[in-house]
Amino acid sequence: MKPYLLLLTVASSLLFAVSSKQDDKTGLIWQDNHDVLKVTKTHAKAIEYCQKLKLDGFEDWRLPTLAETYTIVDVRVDRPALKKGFEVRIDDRFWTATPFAGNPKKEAWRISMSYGEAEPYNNTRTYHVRCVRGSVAR
Amino acid sequence: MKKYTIFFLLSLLIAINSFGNNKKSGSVILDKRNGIYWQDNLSSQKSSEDWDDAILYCDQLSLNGIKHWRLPTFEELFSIVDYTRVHPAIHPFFSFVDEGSYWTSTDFAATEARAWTIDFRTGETYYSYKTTNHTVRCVKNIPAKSTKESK
Repeated sequence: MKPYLLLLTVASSLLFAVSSKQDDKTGLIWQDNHDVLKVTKTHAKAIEYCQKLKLDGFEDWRLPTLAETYTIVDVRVDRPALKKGFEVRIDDRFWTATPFAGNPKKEAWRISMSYGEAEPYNNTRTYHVRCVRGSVAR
Repeated sequence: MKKYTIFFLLSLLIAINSFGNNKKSGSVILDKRNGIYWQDNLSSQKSSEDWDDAILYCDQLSLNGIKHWRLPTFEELFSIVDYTRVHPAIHPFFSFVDEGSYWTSTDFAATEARAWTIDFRTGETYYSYKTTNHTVRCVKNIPAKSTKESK
């Protein structure tokens, strides 16, 4: 990243509310702004939406896999079954990037943030999207 | 040409895998990442217990001289799901798998009458009533000393 961009990012995160949140445990950075509440997409459009997303000066956003999504789920709490630290906390269904291996062309995994349950569903359905960037640190 | 290479690699993998199966030391799988042993014998395919009995079953289990097992947590059981396949959707190093739901030790947040299960037909996660019978695969923490040795 160019130095001025870095400066701009640092400055903007100090001056304005940041639209994303880094998970200290995994290192993944999650979208966490009003659009998470507002935007719903079909599976294909959700993938495209994340790829095109520009947020906090970054353009390398993507739709999280099911396993990645579970790193921010806490099934020991409910409505939403979401770990602490997120501003946008909605009790609704989200798409994951993981296709359903039993019917990969037509179904993908969705996760309900009510309780944290995951099931494969028809990829033409529209659900919420929370994009991610970075990779899981091991 | 590429096709044949893939086919060759695939058959090699299958060969290694079946070798591993034969070699498997008496139905226990070492999981270094989670720091636990997994039960993997006929009982981890055929068992059917309600939640209370599942806990009791694991506590009374003795396998390869290892005693006092426990139910896996939701996160532990989720880590052995393989979402790239179905029927069963489990990592291929497990040999004894029931195509159905398995118990976890994790209580459901909304009511203590339910606990979390994972269905290894597809990997679906669900909160089931504790009075329902499901399959049981127990785990056991690797003692701190042997974790050190294996690293």
